[in-house]
Amino acid sequence: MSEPEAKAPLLVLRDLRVWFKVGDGLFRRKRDLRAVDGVDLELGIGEALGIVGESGCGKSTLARTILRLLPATSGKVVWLGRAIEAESVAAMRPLRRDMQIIFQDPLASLDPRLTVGEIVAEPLRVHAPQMSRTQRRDEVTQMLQRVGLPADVVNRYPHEFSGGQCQRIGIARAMVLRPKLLVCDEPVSALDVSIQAQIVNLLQDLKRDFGMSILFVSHNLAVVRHLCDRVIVLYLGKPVELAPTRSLYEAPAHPYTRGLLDAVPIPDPDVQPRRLGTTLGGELPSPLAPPSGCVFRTRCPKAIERCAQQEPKMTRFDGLRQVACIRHGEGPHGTDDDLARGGGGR
Amino acid sequence: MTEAAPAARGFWADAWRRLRRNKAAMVAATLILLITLLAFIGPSLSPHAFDAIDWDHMAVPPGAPNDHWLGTDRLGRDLYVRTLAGVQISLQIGLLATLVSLFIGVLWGATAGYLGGRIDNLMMRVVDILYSLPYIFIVIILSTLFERGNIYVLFLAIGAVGWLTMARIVRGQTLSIKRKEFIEAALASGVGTPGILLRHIVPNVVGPVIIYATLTIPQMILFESFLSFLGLGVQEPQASLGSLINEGAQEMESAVWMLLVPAGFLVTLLMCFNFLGDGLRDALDPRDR
Ligand code: SF4
Repeated sequence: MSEPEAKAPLLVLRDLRVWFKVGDGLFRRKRDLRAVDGVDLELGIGEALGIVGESGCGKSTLARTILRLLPATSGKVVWLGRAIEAESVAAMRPLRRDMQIIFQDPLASLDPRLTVGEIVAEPLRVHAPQMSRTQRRDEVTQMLQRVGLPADVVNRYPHEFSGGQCQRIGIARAMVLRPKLLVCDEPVSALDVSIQAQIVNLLQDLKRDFGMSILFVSHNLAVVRHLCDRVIVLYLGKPVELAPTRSLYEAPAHPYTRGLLDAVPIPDPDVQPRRLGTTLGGELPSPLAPPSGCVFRTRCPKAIERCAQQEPKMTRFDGLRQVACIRHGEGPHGTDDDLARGGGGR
Repeated sequence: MTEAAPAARGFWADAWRRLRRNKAAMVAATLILLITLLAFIGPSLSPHAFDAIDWDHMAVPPGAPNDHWLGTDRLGRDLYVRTLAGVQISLQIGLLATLVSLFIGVLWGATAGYLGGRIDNLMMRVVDILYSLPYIFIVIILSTLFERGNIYVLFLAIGAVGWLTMARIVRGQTLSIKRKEFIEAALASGVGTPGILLRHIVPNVVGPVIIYATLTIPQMILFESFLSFLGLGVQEPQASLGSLINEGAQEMESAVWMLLVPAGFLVTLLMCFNFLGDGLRDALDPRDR
């Protein structure tokens, strides 16, 4: 797990917003649900970036918008220097061979009426129609073996496999075209703990071998820590912290990140369990009526009056890190102490 | 899966295996096949035509020493041949009306479900409105508008009002399949709309459609019988099971076989189709029991 170097970015997001209209529109006025609200991000080639937050924070929406499975409301999605947020379906098609996705529910992501071979071959049929049947079959069996499945699974159907095996099939389908970006939408949260590690290790191996970038959407911070170079934390569709994995875990700068880390035990002897009295309490506010000022203020242990008026912006500090908190860098038991402590490790 | 899964076992092979294990459904399917064969081959085995009047044998019961195997009706027409001709017509009507409702219903439902939004809303409100109309009246009006007893008009009329439930079923299925992640996966792979519909949505809708169609056939047969019973169906000298039962019912006290023979065929057919439909439901939709 190295710190990301300065490479030309694969993907750049500029102030990306995805709002949904909700309400039946007949008796009530439709309201905006701000699922993603102003995300700026750069993803380097070969970089693994974690997108974390509680469910409902817009992380899956963000992932789907990047792949143009959902339309962006405003902002830019720049893929290898080309803005794609407004491209037509037809113009997107050739780009799709380089951006693939794996899903949370492995079985639901496989068509029950198709054989495993047909499922994995589908991207090849779309993007490499010139391939002969045997070539395609070879590619498919090769990739299936690469993800740890025997070649004879091609004639079988998804329901015959366990969740972990189904996820391997999904990974084979996503990797069969050797994409430049693999989006992972909570890929292990539906699996047994023992299987989770296998899948994460598989993703790590594939990343090492094929050098693709990874966007890893998860609420599981332990898994993200294992796999990702950098992490962005979302809260109610807004980014609150972006940092290299190690420094984020050792010295979270945003109270929300700290709360998330406190809430999960991290199976790592190097990290002492931290108890700063900031375990997340309270309810996630409705994304239809986000709090004014800082969206996190209703649950923030450090909230002051000013937080209700002023919306914190993502601010750079310490070189590679960004945080959106107006009290960052001021408090007595704030982030500076922790930074000093964690600084030696970096 | 508790049992060892043999390699290369498809969904359809699986369904077929489950269906074969269902004795009632298999007996029903065999009986339907036999009755169908009999209906189309049987009449030529008898020396009588379905509308020929035998002046020497009027209203004779079955088993009498002559070549009217199942007796004759009031006019001396061979009941065996007439009943089989009636089965033929009833089966055709049931099948054709089901096909018409299948065609309209699947197209309507899949379009509404796939396009969604306002179009879906509009299309399904049309279905709701048609549902609330008393559809027996519609068929009665339709069948009086056209030449009476033209059975092809009848096919169309019955089918055209029978598609509403099919449309709802198909729409519901399409909606739930559209939201599945494998559709998203296909979109992410760049599969186009026709590919998604044909490769992913249609094959996943086929199961419920087959089940419902199997259960629609007996409904249609029954509905045709009902219309014929009212005198709106097939006209003399043509016969359907419904019109035969109508005639038989009038002689019930003096010649009960005229009722029992066609009624026996009708009841057997209806039961068989229902058993087969139930069997198919269990075979194609094992989670839904
Ligand atoms: S801006 Fe205020 S409310 Fe928001 S995280 Fe910082 S201290 Fe908490």
